[in-house]
Amino acid sequence: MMAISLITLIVSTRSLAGLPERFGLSVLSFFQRGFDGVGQFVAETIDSIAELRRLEAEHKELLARVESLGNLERSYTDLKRENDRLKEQLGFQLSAAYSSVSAKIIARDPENLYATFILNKGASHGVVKNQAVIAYQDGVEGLVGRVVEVGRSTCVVSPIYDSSAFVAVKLERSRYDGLAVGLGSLETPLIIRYIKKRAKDEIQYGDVVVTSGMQSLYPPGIRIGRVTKLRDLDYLTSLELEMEPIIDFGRIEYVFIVRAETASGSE
Amino acid sequence: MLRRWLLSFGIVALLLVMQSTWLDYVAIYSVVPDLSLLAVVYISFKSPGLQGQGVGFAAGLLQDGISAAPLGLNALIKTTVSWLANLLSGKFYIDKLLMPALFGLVATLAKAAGLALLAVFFSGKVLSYDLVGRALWIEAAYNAAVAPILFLVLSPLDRFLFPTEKH
Repeated sequence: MMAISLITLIVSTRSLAGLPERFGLSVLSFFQRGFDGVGQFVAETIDSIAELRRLEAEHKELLARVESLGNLERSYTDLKRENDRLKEQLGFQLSAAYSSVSAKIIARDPENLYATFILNKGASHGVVKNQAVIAYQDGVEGLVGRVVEVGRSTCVVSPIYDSSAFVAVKLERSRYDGLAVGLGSLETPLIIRYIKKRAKDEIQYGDVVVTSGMQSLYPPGIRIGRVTKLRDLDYLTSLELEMEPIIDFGRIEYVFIVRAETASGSE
Repeated sequence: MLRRWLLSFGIVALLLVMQSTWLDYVAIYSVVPDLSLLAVVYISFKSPGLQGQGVGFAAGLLQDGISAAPLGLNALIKTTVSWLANLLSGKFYIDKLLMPALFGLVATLAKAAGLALLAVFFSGKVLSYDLVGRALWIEAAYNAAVAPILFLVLSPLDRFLFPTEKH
């Protein structure tokens, strides 16, 4: 059995395998979905006790707000009509730059060394390997990672902090290009390499980092994180930046799998 | 015999699914205990034959299917750890606390050593623990803490999992 395992490992590391993994993923994900559902039900039931008290207080507050909102609604209709007219005049495109499909995280990698997680959408929902995954948190869109394996109704996502993740990035303000690499842990920051040394004076802490679009995997302009540290090492020909992800991976539940750029997005 | 093997595999598979879903709620610095490894160790230690290794191999393959690890990695690790546990079968008396905790700790370190060795041969494809990183030591401590509980939970199933001794 050790010999069989070793042979399988040798074959799979040369990427000749894949079908057995996809089969295993599809079969086990059925149970993972069930367990995730039960786990969430229990967690939500416990949370609901505290939630009930909060809701009671909120209910009173909201009743007061309903009255004021009634007045606002009347003026909103007028404003919307005016906004539509202005948008038409400006040639504003209402559609997003890319279409996406929403998905829920149902499980994490059972092995602590790997940071991947499993989503409840797969090939039957049009998901294919290497699609970008994004999330919205506190009103901000941020890059989560990419799809690395696809089952029939689930897929495996490798997050940007995984040690195998590489993302072509750009500093939003100064427009310098670099390559972000993960260090494999949620607690460690991402490292941005290959930023030109002359950019040193133009980079500030807190600068937003976005996808550059130079890699075909990720659409351009998606936020990834903020610069937290700058290192100018003598023996390196480029700067090295540390970046904190814009998405708090500890509390994401729902994500969006970017399917394809729309006509307006690709223009 | 087949029924015992299937039941053992079912338990390990169930723990594997729990590990990837529910245990996320009790993760310490994103580290969860390796319940499937502990169960494989328990079965290997208690079973005199190849049951533990067979179950370890099958459960490892299943784990490879839902993990980013290359296919065969967890199968090899679990088979090796279960083989080591099987070597100790019958040589120790298992109490309720100390020995299970020790088994949990040593099994985690054996897994880490195996991964480190494989990482040398499959550089870039197989990840190994950082010896001074906290992930390894949290997992080892977590496994040591959880093993007595898991062993206690599994012990009533012994008569279904293992052949009864004939006198």
